[in-house]
Amino acid sequence: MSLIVLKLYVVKRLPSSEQIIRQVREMLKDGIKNHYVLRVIDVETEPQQAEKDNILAAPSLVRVEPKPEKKIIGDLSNRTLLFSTLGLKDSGAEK
Amino acid sequence: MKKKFRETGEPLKKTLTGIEGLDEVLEGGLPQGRGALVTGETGTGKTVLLNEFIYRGITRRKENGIFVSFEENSKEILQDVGGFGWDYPGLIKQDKLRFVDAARRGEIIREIGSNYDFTPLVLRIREAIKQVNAQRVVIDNLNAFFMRFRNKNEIRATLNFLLGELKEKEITALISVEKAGAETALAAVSAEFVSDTIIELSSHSGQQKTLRELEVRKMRGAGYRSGKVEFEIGSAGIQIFPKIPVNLTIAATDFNVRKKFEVRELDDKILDGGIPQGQTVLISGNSGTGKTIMALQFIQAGLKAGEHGLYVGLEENIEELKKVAQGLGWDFARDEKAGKLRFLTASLIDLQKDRLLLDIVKSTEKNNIKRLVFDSASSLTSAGLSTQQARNFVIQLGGFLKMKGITSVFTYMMTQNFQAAKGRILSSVEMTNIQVSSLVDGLILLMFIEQEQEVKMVLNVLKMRGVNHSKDIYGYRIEKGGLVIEGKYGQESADHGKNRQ
Repeated sequence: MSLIVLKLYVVKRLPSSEQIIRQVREMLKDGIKNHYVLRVIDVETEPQQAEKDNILAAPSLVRVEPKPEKKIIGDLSNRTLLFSTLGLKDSGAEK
Repeated sequence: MKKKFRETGEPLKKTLTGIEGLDEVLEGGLPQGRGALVTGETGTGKTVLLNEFIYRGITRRKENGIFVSFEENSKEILQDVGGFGWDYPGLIKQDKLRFVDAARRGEIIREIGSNYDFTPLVLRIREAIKQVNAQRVVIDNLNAFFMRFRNKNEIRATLNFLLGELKEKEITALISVEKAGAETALAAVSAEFVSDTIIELSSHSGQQKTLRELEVRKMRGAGYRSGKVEFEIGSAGIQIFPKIPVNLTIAATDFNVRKKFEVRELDDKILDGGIPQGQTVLISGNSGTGKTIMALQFIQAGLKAGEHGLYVGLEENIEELKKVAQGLGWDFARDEKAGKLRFLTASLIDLQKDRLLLDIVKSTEKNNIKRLVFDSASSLTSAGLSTQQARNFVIQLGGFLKMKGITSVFTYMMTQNFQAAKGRILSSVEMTNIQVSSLVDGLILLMFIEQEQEVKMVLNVLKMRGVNHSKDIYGYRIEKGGLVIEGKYGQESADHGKNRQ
């Protein structure tokens, strides 16, 4: 299984971002174990990264690898939607 | 209260766009620090205009810019403008230009709920502005932004936030929006951030090319319209042809200075000295009556008097015209070479009236023109202009010439026949379709009439403002040297007829 590269774009200044980051981390850890890399990017400190990945809205979770690129914007708390949109197999859900 | 009044009462500072012709149409440019909308259907040239705003800003006004694109990616835009010879990669390297590539790249995007904001977009734009110290921003286009996300309230809030920030930094924005969505888009942004200027582009297919028009409208305030002007997208970008500057209250006419045809009887007897300087005279007649020759004679007489002439021809082939003049004994080729005579032509197919007017204005100014011939006013309608457009053209051109004190002769081909019985020659004269007779100062009629089994040419001066002209009908002929007046119709000696060549 090839490595899954994910990026989470948030505005860290906003208090809600903390919970978003935690939730996403937990779901991914539970769902795809250690087959992934997640980079959390604060758009306020790294706007060039947002330019590179063409991010318009936050929060955004991007599956950078494997291609094709997939993005999910807005509410990242719905586990089923999150995994299906990113095209990832949720091994945690199969248990 | 007081402060508020002063703020709103202050005239907006304008910034020149640097786009050829547009600043005249905008009467000094765009309001600085405000957003202005460019609207129009797909393919009308909105993106090209935005690119012009950015490119001319950098190259002509030393104002750097950023391009925010929701529609095309920067690679496509680079390709588009590469055709104009604009070196965008170089400008990017020199830190004068930045793209905010916000167009979709074919990635899969899913939006869940409405709990998100556009902070990344705002920050990307802010970052790009900072990198090049931009004074101009273009956004292409609002519809693409609106259609991309479901949370319209957030889009509106973001736009207003962005425009507020631009206003604070005195950055001028040009924002494109599809015509269908213009009202919605405009309703979305707060009036304090956008100027009430809307630039509307339109296009339609001519016979051989796309004819484009640009109109500056005010959104608020009693339906003000500035009228449409033509523009072209050529090999070097956009060229806009503004309406020529005409102040109808200024007239450099002078009744004491008369312009002659160098036809003694016509000048002295019929016209009481000639056409007053700055007036416009219409020579109207059927095909073959010698309208063009009479007009050329007016130019020739001017050249002899040391006055530069301009011939504007819509139908005549200039080379042939010079040969005709040569036959009459007038060396137009020599005068043209010497810079005393200019010829201007425009294609009747897909005639661009604003462009023609501007070309005439430029030529009169460049060449110190004192006499002008427009041959012919009747071709304006056959070139596809409406009656109103043709009238406006004549009014504008006539007004400009008057303002400059340029004396002019317009020809007009009448299509009706004058099978006039004796005594009622003029009864059938109706100034045809575009009714230009009321717009000109003078009117000379050239006619064929039948007399004793022979067709004769006669002329009559129907009107000549401020001139005690002859009301009589005169016979005339055309020979080497030009027009020859044969005397009053019906009273000429038999000799005249015999001398005809």
